[in-house]
Amino acid sequence: MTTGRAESVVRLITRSDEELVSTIALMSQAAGKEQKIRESLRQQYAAHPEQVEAGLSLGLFELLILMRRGNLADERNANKAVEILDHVLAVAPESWLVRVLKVTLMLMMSDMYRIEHSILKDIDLLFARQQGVEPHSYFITPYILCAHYYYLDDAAKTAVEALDRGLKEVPHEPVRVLGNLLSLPLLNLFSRVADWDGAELRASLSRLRQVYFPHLKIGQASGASFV
Amino acid sequence: MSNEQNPETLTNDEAGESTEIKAVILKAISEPDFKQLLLEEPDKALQEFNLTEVQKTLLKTLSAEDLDKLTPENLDEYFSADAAVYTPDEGAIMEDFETADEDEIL
Repeated sequence: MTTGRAESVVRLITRSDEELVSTIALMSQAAGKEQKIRESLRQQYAAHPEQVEAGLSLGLFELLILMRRGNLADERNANKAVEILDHVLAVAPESWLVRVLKVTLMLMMSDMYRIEHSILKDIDLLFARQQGVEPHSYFITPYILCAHYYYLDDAAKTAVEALDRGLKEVPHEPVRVLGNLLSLPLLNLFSRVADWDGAELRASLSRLRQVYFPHLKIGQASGASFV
Repeated sequence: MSNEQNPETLTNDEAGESTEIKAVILKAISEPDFKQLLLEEPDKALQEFNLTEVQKTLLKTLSAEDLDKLTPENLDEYFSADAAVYTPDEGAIMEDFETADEDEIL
């Protein structure tokens, strides 16, 4: 992991993001309407490719669907979503949230789809941009993504070190912005770490959860849906 | 350290206040007339709310049956991004690694 010079331009989380996340969280649970909602979002994006909101909404929708399914059945849609988030980043490279969602999605995909160099580059950009502004507790997210990257790269020790560095550098305060959205990278990594080779990493994740996501439920699914 | 943050940047203290989309849904499930208006004339119903085009478009995909499943009691769950995301139990691991005190975390 490297950290570049502090970037002066970063768009952190705003009230508009909270609106968007609430909306997509609700819509992603509308069982039986997945394709209809996807089409609506794609049409919005096609009509306004220059608007961050449309692309971000579609990317987030695919991420939540993929998380709920717990498998790669929707990988083609997820891959498309990564492409769209890439396009959004070309329009708004300063967006912290868009880059976090893109990396989260890419880490969930199979080796065939993952473009590892791009993942590290995006993670380093997140670190660099975070350095330039007053810290928020949700700045722990890139450290979790970094740990996930190294875990997939068979470097569990480096993954633990990334989490330790996050605990050292990011203010100890529960993350309250965007509901539970920013707990997804932690949930995602937690579910991937195998018992036989990841006990230390899982323990680190548990400690980190205590600090930043103390209300997070691990070990059960809440099961809300329109079913 | 730069203080040139976007003035709209959301902090932990400001987070969790009700959103416009939640206000729409709450009104729809508590006021039958508004619910009917939302289903039949969504543009008119949504005039009083500060919503984006994407939000309006998505709200129009909801049916009466969808709204019937929402209650004030279960609404937070529907607005939660991590709802229905399954993760393995953390407990087994934590039996081996005792819960750390805040002082021990660093």
